[in-house]
Amino acid sequence: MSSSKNKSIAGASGSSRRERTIDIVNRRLAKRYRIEKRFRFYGLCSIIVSMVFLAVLLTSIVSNGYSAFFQTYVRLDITLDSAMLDRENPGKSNFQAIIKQSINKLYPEVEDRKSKRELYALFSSGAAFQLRDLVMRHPDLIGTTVSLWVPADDDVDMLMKGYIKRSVAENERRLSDRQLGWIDRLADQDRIEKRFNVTFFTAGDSREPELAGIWGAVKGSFFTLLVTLVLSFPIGLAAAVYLEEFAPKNLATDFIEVNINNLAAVPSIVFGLLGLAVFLNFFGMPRSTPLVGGLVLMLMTLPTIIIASRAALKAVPPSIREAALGVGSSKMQMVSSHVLPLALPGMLTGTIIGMAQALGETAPLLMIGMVAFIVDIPGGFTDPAAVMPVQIYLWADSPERAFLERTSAAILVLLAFLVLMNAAAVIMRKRFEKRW
Amino acid sequence: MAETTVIDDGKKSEAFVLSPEKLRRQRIAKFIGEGFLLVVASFVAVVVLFIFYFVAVDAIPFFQQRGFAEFFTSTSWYPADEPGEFGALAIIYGSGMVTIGSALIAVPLGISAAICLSDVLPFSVRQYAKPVIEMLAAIPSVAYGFFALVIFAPLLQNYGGPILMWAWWLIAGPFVLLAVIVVGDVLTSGNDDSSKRKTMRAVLTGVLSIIAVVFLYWAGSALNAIQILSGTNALNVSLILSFMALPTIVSVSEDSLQAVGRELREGSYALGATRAETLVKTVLPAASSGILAAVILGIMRAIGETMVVWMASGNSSHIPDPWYNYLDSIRTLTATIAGDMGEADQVTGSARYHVLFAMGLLLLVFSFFSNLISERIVVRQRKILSGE
Repeated sequence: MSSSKNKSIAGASGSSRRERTIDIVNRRLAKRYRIEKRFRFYGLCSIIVSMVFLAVLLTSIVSNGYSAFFQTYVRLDITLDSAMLDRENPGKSNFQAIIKQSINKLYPEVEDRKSKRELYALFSSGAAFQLRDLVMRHPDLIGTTVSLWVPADDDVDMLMKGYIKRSVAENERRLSDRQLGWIDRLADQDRIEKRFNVTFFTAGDSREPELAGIWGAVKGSFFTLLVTLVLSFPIGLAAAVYLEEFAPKNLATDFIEVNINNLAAVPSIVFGLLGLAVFLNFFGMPRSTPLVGGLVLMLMTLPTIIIASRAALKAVPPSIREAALGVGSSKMQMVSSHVLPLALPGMLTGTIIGMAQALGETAPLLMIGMVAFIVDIPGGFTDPAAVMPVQIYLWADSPERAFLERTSAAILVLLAFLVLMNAAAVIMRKRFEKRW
Repeated sequence: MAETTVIDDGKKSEAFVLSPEKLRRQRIAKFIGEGFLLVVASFVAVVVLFIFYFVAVDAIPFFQQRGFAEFFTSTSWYPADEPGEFGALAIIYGSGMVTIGSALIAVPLGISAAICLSDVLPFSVRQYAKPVIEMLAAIPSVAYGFFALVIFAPLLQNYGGPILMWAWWLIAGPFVLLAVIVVGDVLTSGNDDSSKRKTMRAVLTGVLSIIAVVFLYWAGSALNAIQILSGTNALNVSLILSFMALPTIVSVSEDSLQAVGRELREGSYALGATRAETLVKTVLPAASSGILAAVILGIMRAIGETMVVWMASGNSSHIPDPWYNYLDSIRTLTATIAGDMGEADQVTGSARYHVLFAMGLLLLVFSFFSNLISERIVVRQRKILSGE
């Protein structure tokens, strides 16, 4: 380019018609502006591409997931026959049989075993547990007839939500034509209805999609994050204070600083390996527990917290420190009563962001056995538990169509938590950040 | 003055000068406090050594048992067999493949987005564009994995050809157009006569653009004919990983673009450069090392990512045929660790268990060195910029 420009200048000065530099500049000006426009266009394109990707990602998850917040329920009239229920010890009765009895009453024409099995398959096995809970809570209901909304099987749910198409050939459909007829009869009698899916928010994991919920995973995540927070915040804060306020400039300090950055760069799966080798195999801590998960995530979030805290400490102007020292406080007093309170909002912001990272992390937790199928809702730090992302991963692997929408819905819940945390961090930064 | 008498008073002055007792106590407090802080801060540093030590301790038995040659040169990975085969070459290759693939997408996209954010967009737009890109970083990896596995993979499998064709037109189209314009300009710039040059350029551009369109169409229809056998393949993973690495690349490069001061930019404007020229010829060279560091960090994010690759790469440990075939399924180091540990852990102490730590060590060493390099680069840039 530059050689051609030189040539044209030389050619111009050599010719009889004298050309001024400004003409040469002007001639190229239009083209330069065109380049400028093109350049801007490419930059904008790349930003738009990333925005479009984000939008596609979110819309596909929302459109797949919103339907999981509703679940199809069926109304059954259940006669709590005192002959089948033991008044003294109702929990031991055969509730499955009672449910089947009331289903039979709805469809008296179904008689042979094979069709009966097909019929029972329309109702969730959770109905019996629901009935059992009801009777345990209200033993006085025995002998009466109650009208109860019980969850339908996930295939019925999928049909009601339109994911199972009636137009598909019968042998390629998960529901037979006969089953469709039974479902239609329920609909005619106003016995089938989509309701808000409370189970999804209150239950633990289950093999049956209609009984699976995220509460166990939410609690597991909560305990795990609590361990992470309790350990990583004080350690991160202390390390940041030391490095920013006390550390002499020497090799040891450089070594610490380099290693903090190295810690931030370690692939997350390696933290899982460490947790497996150290916490599980060396110290013999229990597998798949929030305690071990929290310890592993603590190591992962430390660099984030330290780096953010150091930035917050750096933002406190030296005049504050000098004033404190000037009125005779010791260095410790200066840090604890002047610098720290001023830097605390920034540090908390960093901590929240670190916690949000920990909440979304999956890979290292797979290593320490948090991938197990756990039905019970964890009650403490040493109970086996799943966490939200791992629950999502487990569901994403399940073949049932109903788990697909539950996976998306669980991602939505997780994203809601993450957005909340990040928004809290942003608001806090806006609110308490001081410009000096 | 009245104050002089106050200062003369011994009792009052005690309030300002600490007694030896108090001074000692304060010194002890300082000593203990500082010592405590030092211990905590070095704990963080020790953790890194700790990680290296514990991963290495479990990795070394593997190399002692089986040597290095098999791990790095063989492609047969049958850890469950008796005796097992532990050739990790295909797995290392798979890691490299998705990393390069994602870098090819993320680096141009990320750098141009960073330039746009830092220098081109007005503040009012930038304010909203930046959080959107940062949000890509806040989405958990398992959500990306779910997207790749459940939504993107079937899409690729069913409409692979048309998707590739559209992507080809969208990406290659503008570049070829640009190339046509530039080539037309360059070839005709030697001619001095301006009217002759214009006609020549018009003809040349016309011919070139016909050739270009034919080429684009030919390649596009070739891509359209491609049948993708499995949607869980290297292309899928590379694409998703590139969007995961994007926020890292954008924010680090934007920082380094911002670190180039106003002086350089304004100097360039004063010399009459347009904004594009200022950016390309002044700002980018000054920020190049920081951008390089951003690229390294972004690549590391792609190598270290587990969930997306584990869920959507197909997990078959072979080198694709031909070697650049991104439509084949692959397996990576991280996915192997995540996937095999569940079974291998039952037989702690076996080669099958230790080989996974060997892979972890490989990842660790790689991330360690990349981080050191990127840090060196950033420090050097800061020195150069502040020195000027």
